[in-house]
Formats: sequence, C-alpha cells, structure tokens
Amino acid sequence: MKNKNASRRKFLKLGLAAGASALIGGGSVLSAISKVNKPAGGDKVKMLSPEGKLMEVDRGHALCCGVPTSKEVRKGIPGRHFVMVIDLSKCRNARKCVSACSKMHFLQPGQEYIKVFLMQDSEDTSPYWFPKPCFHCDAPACVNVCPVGATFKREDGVVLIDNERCIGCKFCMAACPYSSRVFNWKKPGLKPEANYSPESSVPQKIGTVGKCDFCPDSFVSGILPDCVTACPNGVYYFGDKNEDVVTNGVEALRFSELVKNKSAYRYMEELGTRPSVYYLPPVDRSFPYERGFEELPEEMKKAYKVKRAHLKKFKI
Amino acid sequence: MILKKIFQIILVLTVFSGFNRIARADEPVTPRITATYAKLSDGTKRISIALSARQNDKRVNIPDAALQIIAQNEAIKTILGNVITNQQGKASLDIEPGTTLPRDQDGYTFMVLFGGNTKLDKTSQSIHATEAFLEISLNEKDTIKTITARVIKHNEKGEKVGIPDVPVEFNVKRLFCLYPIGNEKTDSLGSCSLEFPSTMPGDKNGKVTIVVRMPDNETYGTVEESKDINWGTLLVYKVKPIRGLGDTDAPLWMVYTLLVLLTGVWLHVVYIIVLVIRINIIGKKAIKS
Amino acid sequence: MSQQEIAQQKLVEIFAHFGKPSKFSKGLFIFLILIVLFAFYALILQMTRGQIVTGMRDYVIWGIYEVNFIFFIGISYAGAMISGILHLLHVEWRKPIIRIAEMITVISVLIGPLYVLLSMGRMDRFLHIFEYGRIQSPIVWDVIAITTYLTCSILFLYLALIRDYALLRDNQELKISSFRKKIYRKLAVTYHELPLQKKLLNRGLSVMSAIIIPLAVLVHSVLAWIFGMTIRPGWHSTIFAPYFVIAAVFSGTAVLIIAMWIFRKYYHLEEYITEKHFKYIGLILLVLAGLYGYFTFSEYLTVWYGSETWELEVIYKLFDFSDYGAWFYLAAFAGVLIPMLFTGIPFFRNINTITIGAVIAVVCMWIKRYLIIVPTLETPLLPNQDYRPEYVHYHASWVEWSLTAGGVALFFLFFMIFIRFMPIIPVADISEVPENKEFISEKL
Ligand code: SF4
Ligand code: SF4
Repeated sequence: MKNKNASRRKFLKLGLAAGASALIGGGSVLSAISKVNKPAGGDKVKMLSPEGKLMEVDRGHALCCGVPTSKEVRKGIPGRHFVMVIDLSKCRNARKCVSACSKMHFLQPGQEYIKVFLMQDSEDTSPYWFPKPCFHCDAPACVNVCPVGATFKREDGVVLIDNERCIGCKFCMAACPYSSRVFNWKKPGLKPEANYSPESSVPQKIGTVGKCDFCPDSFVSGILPDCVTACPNGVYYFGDKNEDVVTNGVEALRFSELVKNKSAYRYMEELGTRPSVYYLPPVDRSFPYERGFEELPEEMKKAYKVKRAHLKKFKI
Repeated sequence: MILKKIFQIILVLTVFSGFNRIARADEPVTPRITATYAKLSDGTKRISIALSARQNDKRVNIPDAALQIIAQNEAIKTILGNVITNQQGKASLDIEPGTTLPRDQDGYTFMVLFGGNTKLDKTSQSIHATEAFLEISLNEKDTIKTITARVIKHNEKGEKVGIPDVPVEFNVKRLFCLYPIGNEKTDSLGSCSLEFPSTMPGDKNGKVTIVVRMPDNETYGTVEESKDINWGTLLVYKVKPIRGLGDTDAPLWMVYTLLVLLTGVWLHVVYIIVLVIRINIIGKKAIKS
Repeated sequence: MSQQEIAQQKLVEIFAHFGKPSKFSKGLFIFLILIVLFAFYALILQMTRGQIVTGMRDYVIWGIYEVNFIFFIGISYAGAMISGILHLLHVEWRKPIIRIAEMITVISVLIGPLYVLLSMGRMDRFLHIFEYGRIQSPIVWDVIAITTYLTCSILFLYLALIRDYALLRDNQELKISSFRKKIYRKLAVTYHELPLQKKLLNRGLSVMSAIIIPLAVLVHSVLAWIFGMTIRPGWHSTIFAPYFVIAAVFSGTAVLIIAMWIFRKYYHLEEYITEKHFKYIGLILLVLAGLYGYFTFSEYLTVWYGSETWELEVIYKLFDFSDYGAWFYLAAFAGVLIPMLFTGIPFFRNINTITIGAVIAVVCMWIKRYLIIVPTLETPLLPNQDYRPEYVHYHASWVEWSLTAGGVALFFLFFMIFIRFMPIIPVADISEVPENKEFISEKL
C-alpha cells in the first residue's frame, strides 16, 4: 500500500507537465525516425533515481499503480465528482477527440465513444456542432435497468461497465436516452496487451457494451482524458466538481463561475438523468459551422444532413 | 497593367518558392533543441526537451528521436541517460532529489545531444541554471490569509540574497492542473505576497496545496515550491443512499412487493404438489385395503 | 355399456391412433427437424462470429428476436386466459378445447424465452442473472415471472391430465408399448376416481386456474415494462402494460382457433370440436379485437395530439407510406377489422372464415410487435447521423429469419411430441355428464 501511494504521488507530478504539452498535435513528416506508429499509452518517461539508476516508466493509462481491485473500481475515488464542460462555441467538428478516444480505447473501426452531432434546434436557428460523450448521469437510466449490475455508478460520478459481467442484453442501450453506448458486435480486432479492468475498458469483449468511460484509469495520475488533450480548440474542460476547477489543458477555470457566467446547460435536463456534462451555448462562435464539413468524407457529409427532416415532410 | 505585373510577380514567387521546397527536401536539416530546466517543489529537477525542425517552411516536431542528456562542469561530465521524444517531439528527464550532480559555483550545466541521421544533422544544446530557491510563508490575520513568497539565491559568500523584480505565480494545486490565483513581481528584497481567496475548496479537512512558481527564467529556469495548509473550504460530500434504483441493493418496497408476490404464487405451487401427493397416498391406501 | 363408456372407449381409440405416426406426420416431422437443424447452424454462426451476423446494430439493438419473444409469450395466453377463465366460470363447452389451449401455453412459454437468449450478446453468461441479479431491472422481473409462469402452466396442464392418464392406464384394450404404459402409470399417480381424490383434484384445478390468470397478466405487463420503463418515444407509455396484455390475449385466442381448426381437420374431431366452439371462441376474439382496437386508437390519438417532437417522429414513420405506413395500416386496421368482420357478422361467420380471421390476426399481431420495436429504436432522441445505412435502418438478416423459422418449427415439433403422450381431448372430462347444462344459452 505504501509503495502504491508513493508511485501515485510521482505520477501526479508528471501529470502536471503532461497537461500542458500535447497541444501541438499531429505526427511528423520526418518519419525517418518514426519506426512504429505507437498507439496511445506508449508514452515513456525517464526518471533518474538518487542511486543513479535510470528508470523508464510508462505515462500511459492504468500502468502506474497496478490494477485496482474490483471493489475499488466500483467505489471510485472518494470525495471526487468528475464533471465535463463542453464549450460549443469553439467546436468545429475537427474530430480529434473522436480519433484520440478510439485509438486510446482500441476501438473497432467505425466505433465511436464520442459522437459529434450536427444539431439545429429549430428551422430558424443556426446549426452547431455538438460533441457528445457519455454524460455520466447522476441518475443514470442505464444503471437502473442493468439486470446484473454490470454497469454501475461510482461515488466519484463515473459510470462504468464491467465487461466481464455484462451479459449483452443491451437493455442499457435501450434505456440510455442519449445513445451513448455501442455494442461489440464482433470480435475486437486490435488487442492491446493489457489486463482487463472496467477502468481502462481495454481490451474490448465481444457481445458486451462499451461507452465513454471518462478515462478513470488516468485520474489517479492526474492525467486528463484523451479527448480533452486531443482537442485543438480547447472545447473540453474537465475536472473535479468538488475542487471547483476545470481545465482544458491550457487554462484552468473555476467550474462554478464558468457555469454561471456562460449560462451552461445540461442536455435534455427534463429527462431527469442529471448529466455530469455541461454545455456552454454556441454563442460568439470561433468558427462558422460550415468549417466542420472540411476534410469530411462524402458519406459522412450526407449523413449530417439527417436532422429531423421527417417532421417537415409530414404536417397534418 | 499594375495588376498584371503584381500577378506575374506572385506567380514567379510561388513557382520559385515551390521549387525551392523540392530542392531543399533532400538535404539534411538541422533540428532545433529547446531545453528547459525546472526545479519542482519536492526537489525533483526536470529537464524538458522539445525537438523540432523546419521543413517546407513549417516547424514540425520530431518523434521517436533519441537524445542524450549530460550534466557537466569544468572537471567532470556525467551522462544522465537517453530519452526518446514522444509523438509531439517532447521528452523529459526527472532527476530525483538527492542525486549528486556535477555543479559549478552557482548552479548546473546540462547538455542535450542529438546524434543525427540521414535526414537530420547532429546537434546539441546546453543550458545553464543558476540555483535559486523559493520560500513560502503563510499568515492568517483577522480572516485575511496571505501567502508571502521570497525568491533567493546564494551569493559568493554563501549568504541568502533576494532576487528582485522577477514574476512569481501563485497557484492552488488541483487534480488535473494548477489553478492560478494570482501573479506578482518580487520587490527589492525578493519577496511578494498575495491574499488567498476565501472560496477555494479544500479536501474534507480544508487542506489545500499552494504552489508558488517562478516561471521560466533565463538564468534560473523554473523554480517551484509548495506548501499544504487548511485554508480551503471544507468538502462535505454526501454519502449515497444505499438503496435506490441505480444501486446494488433494491429499494425495500420493491423487495417486499416481490417477496409477497413470489411467496403468494409459489405457496400455491407447493400446495398443488402437496395435493398430488395426497391424491397418491389416498389411492395407495385404497389399493391396499 | 353405458353411453358414457362407449364415448370413452371411442376417444381412447382415437388417442391410441395418435400413437402410430402416419406417413404424412413422419414426413412433417423430418421436415421440421431439418428446419430446426438449419436454425441450429445459424445459431452456431451467431455464437462464433458474434451478433454481427444479425441485422442488429448500435441503434436498432433488438430486432425480430424480441418480436418473436413477445409473440410467443403472447400466444401463451390461449391456455392461461381462455382455459383459466372458462374453467373458473365452469363453462361446459370449454372441455374439448381446453387441452389444446393449455398445450399452446406450455409450448410457447418454452420457446419464447429462447429468443431472449438469442438476443443476448453473451448467452454463455446467462447464469450471471442469478449470480448478480438486481431486482430493480425489468429483465430480472421477467426472468422471475416467466419461470413462475412456466411452472404454473405445466402444473395446470398436468393436473388436468391426471384423470386421462388414469383412464389410459386402466384401459385394457389399448395396444401400446409397455414403456408407454409405464409412463402412464407413473404420471397417473394412483388416481382411481375416488370421491376424495376427485374433490382434491378439482380443488387443485380451481386454484391453478385462479392463480394462472393474474400470473399471465403480470408476465405480459412485465414484458411491456421492459419497453415502458425506458425513456423512448413510442414505448414510454402508461397504458403499455394493459395494451400488451390485451394484444396477447387477442393473439393467443387467434392461435387457439387455428390450432382447433388443424386438429379438427387432421384428427377428424368434428364430433367434439363443433362449429359452436368456433363461434363462441370467435365471439371472444371479437370482443378482444374491439378492445385491442380501442387501445391502439387511444394510444396513438394521445401521442399524436400531444405532438411531442420525438413522439411525432415515430408516429409519422408509422403513418407514412414511404416508411412503415403500409405495414402499420395493415396491422392496425386489417388485423383488427377483418377478424371482427368474420367473427361478428353472422352472415360471414363459419368455421373457415373465423379461422382465416384468426390467421390474419396472428400475422398482423406479429407485424404490430415489429412496429412497436423497430421504428422506436430507429428514432433515437438525438438524430441518428450515422453514415452507414445498416446502422440507420434495420433489416433482419437470414440468420435471424432462420432462427425465427426454427422457433416456429420447434413449436410444431413440440406439439407433435406432446400429442403422442397426452390426449388432445380431455377424454375423462368429456365423457362426463355435464354439471350444468343450462349454463350456456343455446341462442348464442
Ligand atoms: S449518458 Fe446514457 S450511458 Fe451515459 S450515464 Fe447517462 S444514461 Fe448512462
Ligand atoms: S448489456 Fe450489459 S451493461 Fe447493459 S444492461 Fe445488459 S448486462 Fe448491463
């Protein structure tokens, strides 16, 4: 136990440095040296011990403190309540969050834990991009209906899935009003060498559900979720509500002030699910929404045309 | 006419610069090493390195490059080790407190070496950091809480002297970041102070970690110091209700309803089975008699 | 020989005849086995490759497996409601058809839950429900309710069979294998029509028929709540439970009519299952069709009038001919009105038309359940902006269809096996002098 705490502390330090980096983005053209396209989590940190020994430690996920016991996983970190604030005015559908997340969770091609929707609230209002992870609701409909408790709500607000318990009934997918969950219809292709834990949710398991997990395996190291650091526009703010500070990796803001001053809202509050994800309304935008179509493949562009077109067509 | 000329110039320029780019692409380029030194609050020394190069008029980061880090003075040269840059072209080396490094009179010199390859030239970069210290004192008077920081170094005689006129950042440590509560500049004695905000949440004992930094100074690098104190507001977190829709244990009314229903039905099932057994017994008796 | 004994002997002979499979039934048996084997192949494929071989995807997570599940559980109402209620009310004419109804119940409750297993991603972890079960989940309610229901309906069927087994055991002229005789002896316990035995047996039957009715209602309500408990347009409705119950009795009754028709034709039971039976059951079907139509109307009127965005979106998918319109009108109008026409108006009413009406009702009820499940899942609250067409629209794959066919084949197979071991006409009951002749008005 002592040992574990020590290494936890070490990683807190590292996290501070890591938070500020990572914003330059993109691989290099000078790929002469880049032998392997390393998946996320392969980030190595060197440390020199007082004995003069050089150690190499991984800065990645779930690798610092050993795999926590299932009881710890289901309880969460006491005294924390993780929240996310998504600033819609800065999103231009760059999709970096989506790809970072898919990479880091070893998702099958086509699977997305974060989806970016093109929303338009009514015919007269302007469309806007709407990135949507799992909301980690405080009254999660998905948790209520799970017959085996495979999906559970932790004390720190995170909703996780135990893929070793899940029976794949998909009831949670039907119950989640925000379509946050995806199913592993086939055998996962990429298999990272990792021991499964609900906190890392890798490797995926066939016939079970998956969803955005807020990357809780890196919380203890003070590392932000990958979507937060991957976003080039600083759309995502993440933090502990009890600490009252959220950060997008560049700036740190008081959560209560941000939410108050920018009139944050939670999506479909009327459903009573009490999400942990807050949205800042898309006002004073950094980009016109058309920017989001750049670099998109044709079929995706077409799919974004599907809004609630049905309603217009059929007016009795 | 003028328009046409401008157009021509632009055209020539574009073609030329494009050509230039192609021509340049094959030559090895000299990468740039940016190294910074920081002394963290627990005494760890961190050398952070970024490796990049110009290509096609753009600065690109170089991943997976091996860099050697050396600490040196006039007399000795110690190889600290190799680091490999990550996807963002960055690498860092942490030197744990207590490690003895070769030092000169007022600080340390580090050298970062890049070996080069077919596309990139060999290069190196050295940094010198004069050793500086931060002292934090925390005072509370009539509910006003003040953080005072003093930036000092040792002069030739080994006496502590303040470093005037350097910026100092005051932060509160949070899980994922440092939350800045204010910036000040040191006065002629090397000290500055700031009032601690009254609404900053702490843990359940009110403990907060105050981190004071002198950021990225050319002479001293970054110096960081921290101190814990129970100045934060107390964290009261609700203990979850144990029985609810989303919990492991069901609400009691649900358990009772289910029990009543189930016993109701299954008692009848048992009753029927008993009936059949009775019918059997009656029949057996009748056959015997 | 008394009249009663003659009647009894005749029935016993008919039943003995059941024991020898005809060429046709042998052929049918093999055919059904082949279908089931093919379905088994599809099942293996699904188990090894995952549910990717089905048409289900992230939005439409439940397909025709779930439709079949509701459908079969619905059919089971034939025995539970019809025979339960008729038994409780001591309706005399129930006797010849009661056994068929109860068999339908047991068989469909055996098959229905198989589809729940099929729609689960990890059938191999089914036991987790018992290991980690949370009673807050409607699925756990369902598992509990259906196992109880299955137990009770098997008991109900068995209780009614005891007298018949006793009769078969005691009949000397019956030429059947000693193995079968042994089975009959075991199953008949030591029932000998002693007054006390008879009294106990009747009491048991009354208790069972009383308990099976609320149980059946509960089972289908729980089934409806799986959908009703989610915040989804088209599902999140308070009348969903009674709506499902009525729909279930409706389809169960229709299946009973079809089964009556088949057995009557195939085993020449015209003497026992008469036109009167068809008319009476037809009238029940008429009432149920009316009730069901009323529920449908009430449900869609409320939702349409309320005009919530999400609800409207589902409803317009159902109303629009370019979407599910044709199917919806077929299921909601033809499926209700045609059976009503054939059962309600004396001019059209005969054995065959009533049966045709029942077939239409059954098919339309299957379609209706499809329309309850699929369009709602195709309409998430956030727009479905997936670029892959199979993620937007559901089309059942051949694997799902062959497993559906496999289930239906299994239904018939079970029937063929069941009737070799139990008389499909309650021999003992029917040869008894009616307790109360005046109970049913002959004018009906
Ligand atoms: S968004 Fe959906 S999956 Fe996530 S916690 Fe809420 S209900 Fe569950
Ligand atoms: S699919 Fe898995 S997590 Fe979802 S409700 Fe079923 S068992 Fe629970």
